[in-house]
Amino acid sequence: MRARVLDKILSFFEGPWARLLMFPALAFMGIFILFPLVWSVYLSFTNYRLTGPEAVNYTFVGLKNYLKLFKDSEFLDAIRNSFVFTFLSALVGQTVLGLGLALVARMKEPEGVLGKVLKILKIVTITVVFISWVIPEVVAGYAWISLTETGGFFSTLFMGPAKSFKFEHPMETIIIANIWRGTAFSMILFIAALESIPSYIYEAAEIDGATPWQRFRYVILPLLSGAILVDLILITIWTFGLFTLVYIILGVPFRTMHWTIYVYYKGIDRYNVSLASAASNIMFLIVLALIVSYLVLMRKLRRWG
Amino acid sequence: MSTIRLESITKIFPPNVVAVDNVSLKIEKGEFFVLLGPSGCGKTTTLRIIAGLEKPTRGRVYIDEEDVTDLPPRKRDIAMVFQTWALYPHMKVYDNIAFPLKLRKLPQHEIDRRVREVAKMLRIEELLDRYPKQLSGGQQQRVALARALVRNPRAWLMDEPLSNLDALLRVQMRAELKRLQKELKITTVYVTHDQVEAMTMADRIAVMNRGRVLQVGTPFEVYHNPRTIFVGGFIGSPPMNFVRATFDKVGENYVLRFENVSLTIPSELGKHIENRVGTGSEVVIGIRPEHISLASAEEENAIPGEIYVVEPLGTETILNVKIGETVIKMKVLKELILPVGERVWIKFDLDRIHIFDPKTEEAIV
Repeated sequence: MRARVLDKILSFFEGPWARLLMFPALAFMGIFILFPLVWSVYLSFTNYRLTGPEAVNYTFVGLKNYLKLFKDSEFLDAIRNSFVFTFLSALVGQTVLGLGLALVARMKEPEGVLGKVLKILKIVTITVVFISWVIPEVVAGYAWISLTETGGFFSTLFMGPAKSFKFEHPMETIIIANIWRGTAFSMILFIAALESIPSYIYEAAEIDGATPWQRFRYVILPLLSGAILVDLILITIWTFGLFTLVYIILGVPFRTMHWTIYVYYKGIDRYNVSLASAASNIMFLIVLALIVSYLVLMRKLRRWG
Repeated sequence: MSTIRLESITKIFPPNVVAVDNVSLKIEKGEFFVLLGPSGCGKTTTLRIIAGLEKPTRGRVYIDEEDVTDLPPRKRDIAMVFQTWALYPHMKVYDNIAFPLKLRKLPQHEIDRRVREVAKMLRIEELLDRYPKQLSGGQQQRVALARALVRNPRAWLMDEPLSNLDALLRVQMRAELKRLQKELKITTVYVTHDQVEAMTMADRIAVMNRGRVLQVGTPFEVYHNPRTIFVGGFIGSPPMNFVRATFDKVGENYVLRFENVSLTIPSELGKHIENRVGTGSEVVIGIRPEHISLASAEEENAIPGEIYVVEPLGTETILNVKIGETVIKMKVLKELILPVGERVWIKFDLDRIHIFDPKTEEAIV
């Protein structure tokens, strides 16, 4: 009886009324995603600040904030640093390493004792990589501080006992830390993608005479292109927008300012919300352009899809 | 054209599943050799061992008398057609066929010439510019064959290549494949569970069950002289009838008794059985449906029964006749619809019966 009532209610929502069901989700997204976006665009054209007279009586100032940003060498540095950081830690580090680990994870071990040892090594490695991803970001940040401060393991190993690795090489520090932390995601994604390629495709390539490298280059890699695209899109967004790990490790540094730190610094530290909004919007456009270019590139590569 | 030889191949999958049990085979040059058996009998594993996709636990594999047991598949120069055809989804048909040649770094014009040649042979020229996804099953099958053909491999290995096609296409491809193999004289090892495919295509058949090769022979031999109950029952459609009977000697005559029936068999056959197992012993009679005919009551050795089920097949009819508690299938070469329950007399062609030992399941005669 109850099932029948439920059926009646549900069948009402078939057809044109089905769209009504999307309303709660749309309202949620409108309030928490679309509105802040529009609001930040609006603010970026004003002189709004968190404190002082402009907090109450702010006025429209046109492109003034944007022009100011393009003259600010600190901002231009921050953009460049974010690009370098994203390119090296995410695109090169996490994707390549993640793919490598996924391939290792899928590899068949030889029979015998050696195979068993390799299998245990493999499981340990994958577990460790995975743990680095699930521990809280703040904890991970402090762990890296303790490694890279004066007297820390990394510092002592590379710089001697008197120097700090993170002070001398701030960019390298956050790149390594982010590769360490984020690789697991790419690895898991690629393991899943590799699972979805049926084994007879590998075997056919083997029979057709492909060496392991040729199998990777001509069969596995093209078949993974969809997964690689998804991975690139996600980690580009995440890494450009990464705040916690970078902020915990470096704070607000004098050099090697990351874009998110710049926005935080200007908006929260210096109360200049309108300028910070303008900086956010510029980055939004840059990331959007990157993702569109990935999609275009992938469309060209994956005509068979 | 190559020979393939398997020497005491055993494959054990951990922990202790014996997939292939001490198999030795010799496949001759240009032969169409079929591995036939039910699923799980080890035929596909045997094929994969020849291909190099599996390593045997024991035993050696020779191609042209060269020991290839430890060589990876790419160094064996064999081609394989998979059940699923295993086309590369990201390559066009042309590139799928050209792939083995590209890997061998042949000059571009040579690759092009060969790809177009096989495409013409298999009538898929107009498909070269398509992706596998845009092809029908039969077309994909042809592409897989073309890819296996294009580089003149030492041998063709086929793992149920027709089983994913619909029935009509399967019959059509069966003949085409056989003709192609005869034309090119490529040594072929073909795995199937379909005894009709095996009978129609093979030069020789190896019947496998539970990892063992039970019998190797031409389709004719395997059909007419099955060495075990399993082989007799697996080959032929409908399968051979098996009846448990007692073998005895009454005066000068040898008889087989089952249900309420007593068959007097030719004395030569009787002597043979007597020499092998002695009188009074249990045997299994095997007789093919086409070797049973309708008879009249007064004929010698006529067996009374009643119609249980009638299966008309157009030009022939399969009658299921109940004798006591035993149901016997027989084939008559005409349309014959008898009412269920009708009393009939049937007769075995005693020159064509097979006698098996119920304990070893092996043929006595």
